[in-house]
Amino acid sequence: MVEQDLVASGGPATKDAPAQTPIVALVGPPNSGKTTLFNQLTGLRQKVANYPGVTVEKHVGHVSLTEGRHLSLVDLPGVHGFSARTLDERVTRDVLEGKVEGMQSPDALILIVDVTRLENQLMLVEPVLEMGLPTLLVLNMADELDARGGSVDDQALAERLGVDIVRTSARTGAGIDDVRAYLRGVADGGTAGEHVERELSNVPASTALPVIDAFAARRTLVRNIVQDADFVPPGPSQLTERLDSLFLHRLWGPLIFFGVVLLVFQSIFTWAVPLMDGIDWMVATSGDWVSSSLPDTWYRSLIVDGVWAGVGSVIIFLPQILVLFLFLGILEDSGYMARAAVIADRAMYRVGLQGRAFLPLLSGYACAVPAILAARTIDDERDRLATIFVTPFMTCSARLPVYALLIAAFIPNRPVLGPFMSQRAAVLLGLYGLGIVAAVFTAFLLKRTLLKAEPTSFLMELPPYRIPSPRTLMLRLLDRSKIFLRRAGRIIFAVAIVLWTLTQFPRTEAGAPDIEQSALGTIGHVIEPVIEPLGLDWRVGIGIVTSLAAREVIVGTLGTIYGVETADEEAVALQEILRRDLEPGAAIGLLIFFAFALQCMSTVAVMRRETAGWKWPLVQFTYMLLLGYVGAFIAFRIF
Amino acid sequence: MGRCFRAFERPCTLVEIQFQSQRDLFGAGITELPMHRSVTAEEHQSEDLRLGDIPMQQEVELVSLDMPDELAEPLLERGVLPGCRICPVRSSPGGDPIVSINGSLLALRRETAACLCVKLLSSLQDAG
Repeated sequence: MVEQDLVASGGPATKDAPAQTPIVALVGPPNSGKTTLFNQLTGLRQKVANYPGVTVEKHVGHVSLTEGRHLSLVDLPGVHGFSARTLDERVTRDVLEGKVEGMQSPDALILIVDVTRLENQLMLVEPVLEMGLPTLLVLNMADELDARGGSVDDQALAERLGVDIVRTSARTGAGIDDVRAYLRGVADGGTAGEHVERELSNVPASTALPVIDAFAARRTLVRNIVQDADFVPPGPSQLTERLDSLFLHRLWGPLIFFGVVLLVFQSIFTWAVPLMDGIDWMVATSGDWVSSSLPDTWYRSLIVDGVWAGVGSVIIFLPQILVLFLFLGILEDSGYMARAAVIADRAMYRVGLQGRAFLPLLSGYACAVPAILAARTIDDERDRLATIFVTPFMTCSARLPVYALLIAAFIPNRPVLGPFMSQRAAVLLGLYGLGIVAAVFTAFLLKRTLLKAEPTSFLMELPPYRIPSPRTLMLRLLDRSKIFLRRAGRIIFAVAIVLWTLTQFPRTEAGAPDIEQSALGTIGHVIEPVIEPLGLDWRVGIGIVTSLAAREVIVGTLGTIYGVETADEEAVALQEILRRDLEPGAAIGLLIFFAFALQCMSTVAVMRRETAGWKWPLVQFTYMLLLGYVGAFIAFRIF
Repeated sequence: MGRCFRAFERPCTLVEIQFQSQRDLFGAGITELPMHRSVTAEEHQSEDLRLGDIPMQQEVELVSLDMPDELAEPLLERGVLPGCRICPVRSSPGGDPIVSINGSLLALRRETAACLCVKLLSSLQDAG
């Protein structure tokens, strides 16, 4: 029976080929402490990638055990079941069944549940145990169960389910050694790969049942199991009740919500700035150093002006992204984010989105790329599409250098509201507002056209409040920065090289041509007729083309074109030249163009991956470009 | 899929169908569970009682989900099934209910709460 199953499932071959590292999969519902346990077992030795063909992140970690034994631990997405309604559920099921390309099926499972909500969390137990793999059931947050007066008979539960059971507190680390001991057993090949026949109930396989019967059957089963194990549910958490009566208060709730949003903003735009200045300085200094240590040849220009400057323009946003994700991480792990989503849901629902869109939209103020990825938590596909469609309207930090340059050059620094707000600050605030208005309008439009649907439901589980683990937060930050640098870096790197090449041809006797005669200049002249109605010439045209790579690139490009030595947005020289060259109406038009147009290849690339095709990114790019063009045209006529 | 949620045309009458199929599934052993009791005509008196009408802190029993399959499924997965007990514990600032179910807190929209047919627990059941 065992042998047959192994062959039939094309499953693990640990017994035939002991050299292969055993794989253990970590499964559990959301908010069960799964990722914390994963981090405690693997530490820094983990890799993040995507499952082939889908956008679900695949976390694989390496666990070292005693006597040189080791195995791979796969952290699966948090799921409630395997109805395959969401991508996460489909991937989890495929991994457990060994259907993922290039990945052997797991030799054993760790199923982790929050024991304080045992009855609810065990809904996942039946479909998981049905897989027939050796399983360790981890009862997490056991200390909290005891503290709140609950109890459960582990022995009875273990016998009833036919699994091993360990109690842990992933937060304090209690019980981790027992998990390691179990993994040690798997690594030794004791139980690995064996098919376990479990007699949970006389219920036929749930997949064969109509949907409600399957769930009802599972619930009854879980109820019986929980009763057999003498589960006494813990009393309500005093802390959670008290905090909820504050955070979800009719008056204080929304006030605290806005306070939190302001705090996140403040952190992105003030606390991250010294770090960004530091990185800017390092990139410039190291660029100078590379420049002076290389001979004056063509490749020096490529490395310094192309690669160094291009990649540097991306790295500079890393501090903002780190600060943002530190905050979001704290909010999420503490349990507040779920409450924030509930508070935001009413307003979001009115414009055609839902509460879960709050997190990606907030992230969009730092950078649209991680924000679009964050929208994966939205389980309704139409809501997710609408959210990632409007996310690039949020004023990301790449727009700031452009805004700063143009506002400083064209808007006088006069007070509008006494000493509290200058005209410049008012314009900046107006541009932020413009982005929000465009996003709301677009979401509204989408939900009545392309993404028209019956009203969806919004369900949010509110986990108990908990103190976030610093270790988990740090590992997540590390994760995010790696993903950001890899994803954005690749695109910017490529574009920087292409742009640089275009400035180098056609060659003249003196080497590189004047920028107007170069291939890039030619492109600018080709574009000129299109942007002439906006009051812009070929120079800005080149800037618009190069800033397709990333918005802030236009600052550097204009600097190069106008032959200004230091192409910093602070540089007074460039501001003066712009003031001479552009009409105020055209400048305001350009600001509006940058508020709307999707001048960001990284976003387009991420959109293509997240929607698995070119349709959505193309629709989005065209729509935003048109909006930007029309907006700039109107502004040029008015001012 | 989906023979169960025809409730859109005929609200709250699918209970009988479900109980039928449950009995087939489980046989005799577990009929004492609340959801497997046969539903008598008297108990249908409050047929139009919805979760949205229930005052705070009053525990009720879910009778059926009056919504299409794809909307019901996430609820079912979280254990919101006919026969389970739900208690509204507070209301969000936007006026949406937050309910306690199986020891978890779940935030719903009031539109969803209006699709959940419930019935009051009689004092006899309350004691047990």
